[in-house]
Amino acid sequence: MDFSWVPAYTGLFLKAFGMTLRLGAIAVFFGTVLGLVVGILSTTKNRILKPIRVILKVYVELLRGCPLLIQLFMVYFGFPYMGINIDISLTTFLVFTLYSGAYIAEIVRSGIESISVGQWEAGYSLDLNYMQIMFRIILPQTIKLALSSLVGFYIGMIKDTSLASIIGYSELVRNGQSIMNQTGRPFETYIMVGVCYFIICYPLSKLVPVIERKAARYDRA
Amino acid sequence: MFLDWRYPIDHIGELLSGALLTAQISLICFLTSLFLGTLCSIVRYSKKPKVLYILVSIFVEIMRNTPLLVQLFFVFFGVPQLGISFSPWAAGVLVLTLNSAAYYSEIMRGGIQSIPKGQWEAADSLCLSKTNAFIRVIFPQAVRDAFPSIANQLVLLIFGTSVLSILDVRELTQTASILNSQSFRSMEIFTFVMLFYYAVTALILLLTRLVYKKWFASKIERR
Repeated sequence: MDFSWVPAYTGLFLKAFGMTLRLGAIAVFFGTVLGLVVGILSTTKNRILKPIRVILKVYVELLRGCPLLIQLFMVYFGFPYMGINIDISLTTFLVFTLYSGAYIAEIVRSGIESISVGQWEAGYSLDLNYMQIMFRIILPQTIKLALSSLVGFYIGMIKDTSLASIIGYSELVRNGQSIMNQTGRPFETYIMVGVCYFIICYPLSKLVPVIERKAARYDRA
Repeated sequence: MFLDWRYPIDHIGELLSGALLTAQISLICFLTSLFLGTLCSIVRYSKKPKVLYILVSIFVEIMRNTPLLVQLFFVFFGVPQLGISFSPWAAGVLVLTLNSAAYYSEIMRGGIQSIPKGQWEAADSLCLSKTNAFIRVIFPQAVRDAFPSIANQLVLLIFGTSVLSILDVRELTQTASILNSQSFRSMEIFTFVMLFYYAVTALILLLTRLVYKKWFASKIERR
């Protein structure tokens, strides 16, 4: 093992690390927004919204039911085939947002459905309308319940950004490959790449039990 | 653009043999990682022996907090630098097994921890030894509690096998990639493969729900 070459490549590692963080942040942020909207819509009971619910259900089921890699390939190869030409960053952002949106929608939906009907009834008896009950009563409780699974999913999402390297998005693994080719030291290179992911994911994973304890304490109060 | 669904259907043989390899790898990795993960979970739960506990904890944390792809590249490209090399299949199975074992160790530990202390005390009062109590009383209940998560992790494991395509293991995803580069019928091929994966996961989840209902749900008494 020889890590003496690492300082010369610090800049490249940091740049690649930034790219991974950016992709992770985009996937997490837009995925959460999309997931919240889809999750809330799929718990509605309105009859007019039924077709939308069916479409959303298909979307969530399909994207949760097949590997991210297939989805990446599908958009990366399939969109140009349909005559839609978008560059790699946009392809990656699109796929990761849709993918994380589907998972987060499921987390939000099951969270909302686990809130007891009594909360709704109490809200209606106070003459609040649907929007008020959803955003002031139900959603705050849902977020509290779902936060630990959300953070767990975020960790998975950040790790999954590594798959973007396969279609050529320049992030940690992709840059690791070029560093490996320049230095001829795959063993140390991949340890360094692994350490970069570990630095983000490990603290987040330690956050999950803390949130769970907090939520449990809040529950009893 | 026109969609030609005959293409994936004409090549169903190749896709099926790819799916068979996916199934084979998934099954091997599932069984070995469940076994290995259970062993790790016992060490993680009992926190004895100390040295082993620390080693297992480091293993689990590293596996759970780095991407599968990086682990795969590390074993396939990095480890040969030390003079040990693997075939793509062997590297893939090894990495998937270790990765999934780390997740199973956490799932099983959660299962074991969810069993109330009273069960241990009851077993103790019946003069069962610690080992016996664990095997006969605690472990079956832990499996029952962890059952949905075990099935979930199996689905994630099957998705994980798609990553092996990067090392040219000819499983379902790689077969699809090859067909895609031969014909560029991307939409048809990947839609087909997507539905294929979806059908398999839906089937697994349905089966686990049935098994759970039949064997386990009736036996859960609220504590």
